[in-house]
Amino acid sequence: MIAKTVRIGLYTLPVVSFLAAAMCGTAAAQDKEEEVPFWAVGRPAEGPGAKLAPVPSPPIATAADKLPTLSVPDGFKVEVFASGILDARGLREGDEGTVFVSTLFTGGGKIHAISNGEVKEIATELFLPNGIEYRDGALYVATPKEILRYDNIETNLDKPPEPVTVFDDMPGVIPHGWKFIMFGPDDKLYVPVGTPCNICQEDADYAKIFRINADGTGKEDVALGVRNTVGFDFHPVTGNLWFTDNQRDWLSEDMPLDELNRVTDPGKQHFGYPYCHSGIMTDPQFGWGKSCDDYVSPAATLGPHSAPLGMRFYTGDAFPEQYKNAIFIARHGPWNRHQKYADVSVAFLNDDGTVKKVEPFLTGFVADNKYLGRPADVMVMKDGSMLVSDDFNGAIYRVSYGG
Amino acid sequence: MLSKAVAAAATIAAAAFFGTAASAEPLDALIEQCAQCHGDDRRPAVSPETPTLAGQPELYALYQLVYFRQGQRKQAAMNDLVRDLGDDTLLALAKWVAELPEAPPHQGEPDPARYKRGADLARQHRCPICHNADFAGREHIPRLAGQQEAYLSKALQDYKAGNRIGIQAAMVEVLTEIDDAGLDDLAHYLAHFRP
Repeated sequence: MIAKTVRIGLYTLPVVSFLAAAMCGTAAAQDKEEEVPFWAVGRPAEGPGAKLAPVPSPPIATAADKLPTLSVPDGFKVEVFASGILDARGLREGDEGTVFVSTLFTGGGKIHAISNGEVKEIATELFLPNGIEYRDGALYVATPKEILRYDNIETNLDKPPEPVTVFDDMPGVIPHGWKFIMFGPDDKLYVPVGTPCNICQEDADYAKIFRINADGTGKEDVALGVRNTVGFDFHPVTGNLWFTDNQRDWLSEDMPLDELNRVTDPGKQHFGYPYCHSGIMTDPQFGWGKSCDDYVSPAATLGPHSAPLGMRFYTGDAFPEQYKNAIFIARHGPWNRHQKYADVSVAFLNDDGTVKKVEPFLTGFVADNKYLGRPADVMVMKDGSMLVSDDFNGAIYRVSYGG
Repeated sequence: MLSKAVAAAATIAAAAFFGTAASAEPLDALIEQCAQCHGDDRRPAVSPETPTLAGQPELYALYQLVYFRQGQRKQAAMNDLVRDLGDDTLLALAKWVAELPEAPPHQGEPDPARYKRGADLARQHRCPICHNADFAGREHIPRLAGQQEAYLSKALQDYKAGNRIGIQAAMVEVLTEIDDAGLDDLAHYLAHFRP
């Protein structure tokens, strides 16, 4: 199954058991069902919804002088930090100030390093290497199947070492298989496994976040009922894991609402998928006999099909006081919705850890209902400024305050 | 539909090319070279295996130009032609493709039996999910309706053999179960497609 899944298209449904179970027909009927791209299962047959599909990025990175003009609140400044990095996705900063950039679909399986204004390619032809993390001089790269470690990377950018495989006990399927990874305050590496479909009841290997020791041992579950998280971070004071979660497709233009979640009891909490969405609605197929009261409700909802990806607590000292420990969230913007929107939003928290409000922060990614850019990850730099990757344009923006 | 950002970039690139008489020549000459083989509103494509470009989405055209430049898609004349072209030129060429006047519908009559077999295959293998019910394509997905039959046959064979992969290898997977005669029927149906 894994070999087959790797061979077929990114948007083609692999042979997943739920479909075979859902089909009551013949083997031939099941074969046909496999040819529906996984994202299209459940799409309306007619009307505007029938034309919705994942939004492709151009195969050429946008030149720096042709990037969209973005807006930030008064006192902030946004500038182009880097351009020409096709499919720029995940961001991490090394001890020496190197900015590492991952790619996903159109980026050729590459990992880039930006050092002293120069962009270097440090890995290529990896399998959907969206997830990256930096710690103790090493760069960790997560594919849907395995986690690799490149030791002493910053001193070897021109000749990266052969990676060490830290962990490979993951399904490796393509739908929602690409990763976001991060070390927690407990020195464990947190790793998600998304659901291999739009909506399905899978076995225990999917739809969760787990954690492992840095050497790959000690795997244990952290959060259950997680459909597809591609961004999380740890509260700078409480250490709680907060994560964004992308909810199911094809329910309607305005539902469900994507989620910002908080884990307070690791390993014990279920966040609802596939039974309850957004904390307020049971699923029309899997939710019968279930109650949203039995699952952890989101700390905040982030809009219908908004595709919240990377998120970070603001831990720098350069932004005004109100942003301290607030959460910046890259909303990549919907494909499963006619009306498009995308931004970097900011979530302000109350003293008790609940969410006070969520509002747009970095805007200008949509005009005439078309994407001009799509934010994929955010990262607070050591100098307190914030980087934002844009995988649609292959660019990275830098947001700073004052000056 | 291509994004406004890229469309705008292409416009800027095109404007730059047409800014002076001297700099207008390279793109004009290039477009003339394209049209000599692929045809335009004044002439047909040079051979049955050469695709017509009219009606192709801008993003599909751009992807193919990039694939030809990088060698992922192999066709010697195309590879040679675009190998050294810059991003702005590829963007301008894709824009030219997208703005070509619509091609007249296929003049020939289809073989009813083959047309029906092709239609059945298209339905069974769910081609309209990506290519749309009218086979006009969208974004990075090519238009198939009215395309040259011999080209379609060759393209389908190339995808099935893995010589063309596309962005997500969806075509390689979809075609695995269809035999050569079926691919030809599918091409016949799409070339003569009537809504």
